[in-house]
Amino acid sequence: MKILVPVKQVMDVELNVRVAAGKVVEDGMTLVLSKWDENALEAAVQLKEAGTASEVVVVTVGPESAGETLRKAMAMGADRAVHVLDPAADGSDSLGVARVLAALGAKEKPDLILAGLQAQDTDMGGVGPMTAELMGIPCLSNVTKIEGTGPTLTIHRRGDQGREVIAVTLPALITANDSLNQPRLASLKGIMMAKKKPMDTLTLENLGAAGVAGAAHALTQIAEFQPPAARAAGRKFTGEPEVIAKEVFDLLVKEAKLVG
Amino acid sequence: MAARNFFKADLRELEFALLEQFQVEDLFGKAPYAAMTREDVKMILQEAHTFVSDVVGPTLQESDREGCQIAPNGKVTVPACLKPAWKAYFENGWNGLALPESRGGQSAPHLLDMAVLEMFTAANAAFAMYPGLTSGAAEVIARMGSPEQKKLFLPPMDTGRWAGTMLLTEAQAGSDVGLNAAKAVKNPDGSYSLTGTKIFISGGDQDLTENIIHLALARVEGAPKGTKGLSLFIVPKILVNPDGSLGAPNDVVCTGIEHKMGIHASATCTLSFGEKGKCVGYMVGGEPKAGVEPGAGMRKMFTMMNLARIGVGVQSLGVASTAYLNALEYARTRRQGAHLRKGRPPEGAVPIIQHPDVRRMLLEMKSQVEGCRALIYHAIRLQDQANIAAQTDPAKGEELLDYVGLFIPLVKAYVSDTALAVASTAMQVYGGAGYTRDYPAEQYMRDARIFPIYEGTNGIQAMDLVGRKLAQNGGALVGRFGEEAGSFAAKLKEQSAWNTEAGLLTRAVESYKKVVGDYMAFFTQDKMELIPLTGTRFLNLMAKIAIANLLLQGARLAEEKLAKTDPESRDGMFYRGKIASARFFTRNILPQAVAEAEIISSGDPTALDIPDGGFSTAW
Repeated sequence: MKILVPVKQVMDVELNVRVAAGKVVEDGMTLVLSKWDENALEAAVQLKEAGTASEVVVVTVGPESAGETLRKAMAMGADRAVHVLDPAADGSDSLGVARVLAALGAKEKPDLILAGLQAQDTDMGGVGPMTAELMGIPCLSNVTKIEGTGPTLTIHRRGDQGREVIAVTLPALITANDSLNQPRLASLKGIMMAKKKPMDTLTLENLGAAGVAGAAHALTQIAEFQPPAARAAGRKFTGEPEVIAKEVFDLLVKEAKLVG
Repeated sequence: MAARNFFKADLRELEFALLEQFQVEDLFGKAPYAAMTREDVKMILQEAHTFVSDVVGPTLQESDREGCQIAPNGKVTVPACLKPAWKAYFENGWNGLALPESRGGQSAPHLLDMAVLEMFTAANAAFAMYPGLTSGAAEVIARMGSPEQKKLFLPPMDTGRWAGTMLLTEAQAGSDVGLNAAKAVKNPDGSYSLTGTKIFISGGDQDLTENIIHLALARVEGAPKGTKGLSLFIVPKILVNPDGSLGAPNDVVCTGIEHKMGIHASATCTLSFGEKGKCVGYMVGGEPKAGVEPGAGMRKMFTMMNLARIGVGVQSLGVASTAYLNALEYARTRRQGAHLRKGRPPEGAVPIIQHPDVRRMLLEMKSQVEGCRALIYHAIRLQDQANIAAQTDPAKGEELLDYVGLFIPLVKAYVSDTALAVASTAMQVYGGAGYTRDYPAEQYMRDARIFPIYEGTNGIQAMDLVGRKLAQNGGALVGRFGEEAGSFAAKLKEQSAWNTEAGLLTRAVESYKKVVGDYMAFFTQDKMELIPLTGTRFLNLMAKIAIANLLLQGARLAEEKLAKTDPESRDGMFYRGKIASARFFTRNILPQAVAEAEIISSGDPTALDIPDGGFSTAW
């Protein structure tokens, strides 16, 4: 079984993200591997360790710096990496990235695509399902457990009505919930070995995907970023408990509209 | 409730120190160091930070509260949360960064290794001691052991299956190691039977590993008194069969653990060996060859102490750094009082970082932490350069190593004293909250209090500096130090923006040179007691000059980079901070060195002349 893991490099959201003139200030921000992608990668590496998968290929569509994220993924256990590095892909929306991944999917022919549920920066959750749709393969999102060795896998996912257990025949695309596993930490050996693993750099043209991605082909656009509104100051109630309770209840109903 | 995690490290500062100021890249690819890249450094720092943060950080308070226990049979248990941390540390290979490839390591320069070590010790200094002591003991065996000893003991020590310790101190032999009374009697099979009692043994017993390899100092029957007659023995807790499997327990018993002020998670043991007459030890390196006096190994072991003492410096730095960064976070969020000019904000009070006295404390800590880091990196880089030089030009290697030796007491003593002061200032920033166990400041202070004491007290470090290093190579080392600082100060004078700092540094260097001359005079005028009396002052004087010099060099570099950076950007802020650290240190802390120099030169003998009875009413 060959597994393709698409990953995204995002800003470390634990740092203070600043917004200026409608844009996120990227300068000096630490860039990291999006956390749901770590779950997807961990699942892939576990399948490889169990002997179910034969190869784990990690891919990203992103700028030069995204190469670091691919190396981190290889340090965690991916066998090789593909970096789609093309200025023409800049400004892609979810659909643009999905089109590029679908083109790569046609080339790599993975049995399984393991993606993160959503990216840690935009929380869109669009790329995985769109890629599956474009490739014409089943998509199982929000997956919490993977069982079996293929060609049919048993998948547990969190759905509207609770846990759903679904049998799926490969090829398929799965997006990982963060309860799927506990991603491993990169070992020092893994870090040093990662740079010896193969990394291919491709352009959109190499993939036969020229003219499908990038700002010009995006169907959605981010007009501007705004910092979250500062939390309003809290209010302290004093007095007799019976009086306060009624006061708080009224506010919850009238102002917060939590009840009724 | 999940354990709280107070670990903090400034990765941007570590990158600056390694890649911009101390140029670790220059050391890459030069034997004995592996070829690495800038990207490797960044990734190693980043991933080490993630590992330390996830695995070690949460153990700080938990392991301190739980502490170590000893059972009636002498078995010691360490805090439970340390076990997975120990396992993960070795599984993820973090002990192997500076180990040679032949031992499964990455052959990185020590400079890079120290940056990683700093993060581990910042997260939990007591925990970091176990692997630190293990690699120290393994290093002794690697350098001085026989081929059989290396083959038998190193692989399990390098993979964390076994741990290692150093058994030096005895009740009557602390700083005065030559008073060691442990005895070794040769057996017919070439091994030795040891008897004695060692105290203050960090990791002397624990339940992290299936075996512990003790390195014990003992005197072979008939060997001379003093350090000269001491030999070093490998004493396994569990005897090891020739095939590497574990045999019977050795006659080594832990008879007690210390109840200490800090580093509670580190088991400090009293070990009694040979109570039943059955403690087996093996001389490190096998029998001395003909013509080599017994105990020659002892002297070799002292060269190991360079790394161990730098290690204490790094430990101190780690705790100081995380203490500062925690206090900084508190100062940014805690609101009290009004702004001196702008009054009260709508929130009612300003973050205390806006108060001048708090800013004074913060910048004092920042400049001291960065200064200590620069001092350590300077020394360790020289040590790496010495190791590189030794490959092709042993004489040049020796020369560099001698110069490193001059910095060792500064690194051990100045940085450990400063770490304690920084931890105390950090607590002060919190006010009363810092004195409680809700915040980590109190533990940092308790943990840091040992650093000026162990691995040669800071008093011993000062004696090493003024008693040995001052006159070493005919005074060439102290001469070179003065020349280097002086010529940098002269160069700095050409920069108008740095005129004040250049003047202050020049003045400090001049008073340093005067003191070196005064020491000669004390000697010829038969006032030699004044030298040890003022040794600590001299050590502080030298350290402050070295740090001012290094911080100013870093600031000049930051200034060049700032010219090409948006000053409001993160990088811009960082570089402005570097410049501020150097200015503050030079203007606020370096002048204390001049005062120290004046005190030394005054030759004040009061502490010598006061009658012993004058110290106390009890007489």
